[in-house]
Amino acid sequence: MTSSGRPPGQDGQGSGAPDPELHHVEHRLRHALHHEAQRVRPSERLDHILAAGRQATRAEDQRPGHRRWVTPLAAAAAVAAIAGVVWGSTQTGQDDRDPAAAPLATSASPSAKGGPGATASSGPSSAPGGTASSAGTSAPAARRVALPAYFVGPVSGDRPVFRLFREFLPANLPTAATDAQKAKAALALAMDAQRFSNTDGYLQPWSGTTVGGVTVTPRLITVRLSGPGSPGITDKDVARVAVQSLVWTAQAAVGKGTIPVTFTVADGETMLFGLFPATQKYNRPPSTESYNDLAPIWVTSPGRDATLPQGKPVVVKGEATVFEATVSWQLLKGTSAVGKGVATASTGAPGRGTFSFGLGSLAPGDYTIRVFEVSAADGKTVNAEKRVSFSVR
Amino acid sequence: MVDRGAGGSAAVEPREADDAIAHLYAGHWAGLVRLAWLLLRDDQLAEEVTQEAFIAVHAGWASLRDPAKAVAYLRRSVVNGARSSLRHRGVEERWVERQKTDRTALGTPEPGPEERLLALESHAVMIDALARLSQRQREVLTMRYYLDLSEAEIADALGISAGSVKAHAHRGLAALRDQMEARR
Repeated sequence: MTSSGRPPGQDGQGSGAPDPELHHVEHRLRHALHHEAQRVRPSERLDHILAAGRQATRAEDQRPGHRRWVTPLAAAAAVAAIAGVVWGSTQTGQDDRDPAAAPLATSASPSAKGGPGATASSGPSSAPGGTASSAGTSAPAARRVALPAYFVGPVSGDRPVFRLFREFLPANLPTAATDAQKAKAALALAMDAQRFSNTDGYLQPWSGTTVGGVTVTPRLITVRLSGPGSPGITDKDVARVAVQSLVWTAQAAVGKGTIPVTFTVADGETMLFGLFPATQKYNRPPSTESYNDLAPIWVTSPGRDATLPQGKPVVVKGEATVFEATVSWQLLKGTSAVGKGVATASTGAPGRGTFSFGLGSLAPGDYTIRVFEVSAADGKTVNAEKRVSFSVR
Repeated sequence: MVDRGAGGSAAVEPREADDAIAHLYAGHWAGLVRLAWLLLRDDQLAEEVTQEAFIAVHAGWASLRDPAKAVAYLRRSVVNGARSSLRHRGVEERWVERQKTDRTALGTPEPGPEERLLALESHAVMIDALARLSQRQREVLTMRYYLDLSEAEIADALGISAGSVKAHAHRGLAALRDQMEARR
């Protein structure tokens, strides 16, 4: 049962133990390790490795003197630091790296290891399929990446309040995409909410509007729109959140923190939705006030419609701005609840905390995880809710 | 084949490094992530640690340029990275705890043939026991019995002598045996 075909304990390299009992332990250990390891389904990261490796190479090239081979840890630390500078967007406390590690390489997941922001995660489990399918070929001119896009959706079925939900969606980008190209691609995704309007009730405030182009400087992101937004949006708070959806999306895609965002409208309009001046500078609120923009509960893992491997414990992760940091959850199979519980987020409202809870190993089937907050006032009203469907196969 | 451009930089052409890394990735990515996972018990961390090792090899390809050396280097980086993650993030304390919650949380596995359940139980017991060993013993045993590395290869990856590898392996196995016996 050795993967290398080397017979256990007969090569003089094992424990060297003639003790038959130790031999038995060796055998069991080998089986257990292989069995455990097979449960791990590493996600695809080749694209990111190549991109980050090139970046690190360039950084080395630009140093005085010449490049030299560094020790493993130093090299890893240097890479993490570089990645952190380029991608870190934690000034608002919002981490826009793809926590669901979708079965795509993520352009926005540089793994600045060890940072306190590195909370929500899921990793290998949510990546179905094998490994290294694209390996062995040289770097493609275009690569498939996951981009963050913010959508305007209802915070719960009980309250007509709309806030932002973040999705990571696939897009094709040139290998050496500029920040502006990334932002434009992400904005195009965020403005096309139709695909989620039936399932998640996301509004379509930018229906009929397109992104003409994006300019990114260290101080300003300028987004050129074809129109001022859907005339159907008349509620001022909804319009505000719709504008913020583009602000959050553009900043997340650029990944360089809270660079203010401004707009120009092609048809000469000066107001977005007739309510907000296009040329004003917009920004994310500070992290202590993110509740103004973000929906109270997000589920970041499992990813939407993810297929998870049978036999591996399912862990649900998310972010929440909720009273006393408490969220309730229900696991649904069809319409019947097959599990329920409560979880505690890392911080309570008005802060935005992360939460995580395990569902154990689930039998194969289709599930929906529902995470919600019940009003402390009447114990009935659902203040906030998010559902994500996934399958175990 | 190498277009050095007007700048005259002595760097290898990026594509050469890309190809080399893609090749290493095809052969070793999954195995090394799994090694990291066995040491860390954390999906995300395991991928991050392994990813950083690959990125470092990519960035340093110009001076490395040897697939065999690169594999040894990757292994070393992954084990070092896992150890440093454990140290810095207090993952270790949660290790055993997570094992428990993973297995007892809602939703038991589909009932299968009895042998299968027994085998699963036996694996779980073994993995729990492994968690109680010293980190060094765990590293040695994991590399020995998951990667099937020789003592010399393990010694190289861990930066210790072959004699120490032998000693750690023997003590680790003996400790596992004692734990197994204690459970009977």
